[in-house]
Amino acid sequence: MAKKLSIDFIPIEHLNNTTLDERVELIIKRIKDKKIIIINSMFNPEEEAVLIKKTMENINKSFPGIEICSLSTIDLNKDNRLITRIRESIINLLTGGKRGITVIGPAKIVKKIKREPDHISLLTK
Amino acid sequence: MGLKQFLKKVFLLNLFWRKKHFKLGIYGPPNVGKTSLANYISKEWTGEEMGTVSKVPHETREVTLKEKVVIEKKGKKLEINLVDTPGISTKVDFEEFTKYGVKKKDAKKRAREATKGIIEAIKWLDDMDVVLAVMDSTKDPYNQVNITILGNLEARNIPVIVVANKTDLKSSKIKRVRSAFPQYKVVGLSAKKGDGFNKLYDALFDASREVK
Repeated sequence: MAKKLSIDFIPIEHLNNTTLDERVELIIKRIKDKKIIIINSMFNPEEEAVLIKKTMENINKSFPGIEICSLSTIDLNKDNRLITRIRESIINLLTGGKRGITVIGPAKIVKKIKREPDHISLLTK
Repeated sequence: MGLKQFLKKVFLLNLFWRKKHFKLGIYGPPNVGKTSLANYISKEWTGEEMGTVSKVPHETREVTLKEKVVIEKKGKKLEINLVDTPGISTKVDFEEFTKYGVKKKDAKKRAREATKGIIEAIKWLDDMDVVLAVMDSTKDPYNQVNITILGNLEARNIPVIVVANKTDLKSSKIKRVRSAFPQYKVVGLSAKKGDGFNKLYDALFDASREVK
């Protein structure tokens, strides 16, 4: 019988009023429920580090960890103009997140999440 | 920006000022050759290695410190405290270790220790003055762990040198590392063969001018 695959889309606006710890706990809870999560925002480095730390604290036989990938809607490596940076800062301030997409899945189900230049590929086991 | 940083920028003190003692962290995902790199540097300047290396992931599960490693180049000296850290990853599966012949009981112990090591490595980030972000130049460098490490260092304003290791292997592609992270200084080397270390030491002397 084919395994069920469950995907949750979480709008960033629903996470804006939560603390970092609450946000990370919510994500890990859903991942442990074998769900793949898609968020319409990028994680900042601090959030990613906390997510990795919390993931490590939760690892056991049935939960070996996560696969995660964030992709920005704009590549500041390629377009590093001041106007672009200012525009992105204003948008990020207004939306409470960094424009982009984050995909997180349980390592038990997700083999790999690969970042391509313009999209994210998710490969299940 | 602190007063010292401001003055350094305004008066171009960066050209002359450099910190002669600093803590150098070695960070990266598992199995990119962090301990091989630490061993080479430590052996070359102190005569002693720092840790054991293995093909089994997460061989280094504790932060290891080697103090007073003095690097000399063209009459100049740098004294560093070298910090080798466990490989950072988003998953630790004990079953993966058993594929390398590790017994199930030992694999579970290894996994437990590895998770603690990753937490410890992340905590140590705040204490670093300069970091070598080590990557396997035979693999796609644009992965989430590398991005997370570099992002956290940038957020903390810690100078970074990207080390593209394993250049002795045929499938090594330093250009791929450079194009993935064009804003960083990238040094290609082989920690196994000892190639490319002069360029790394030059980069360390350069980075010593940026230390806060």
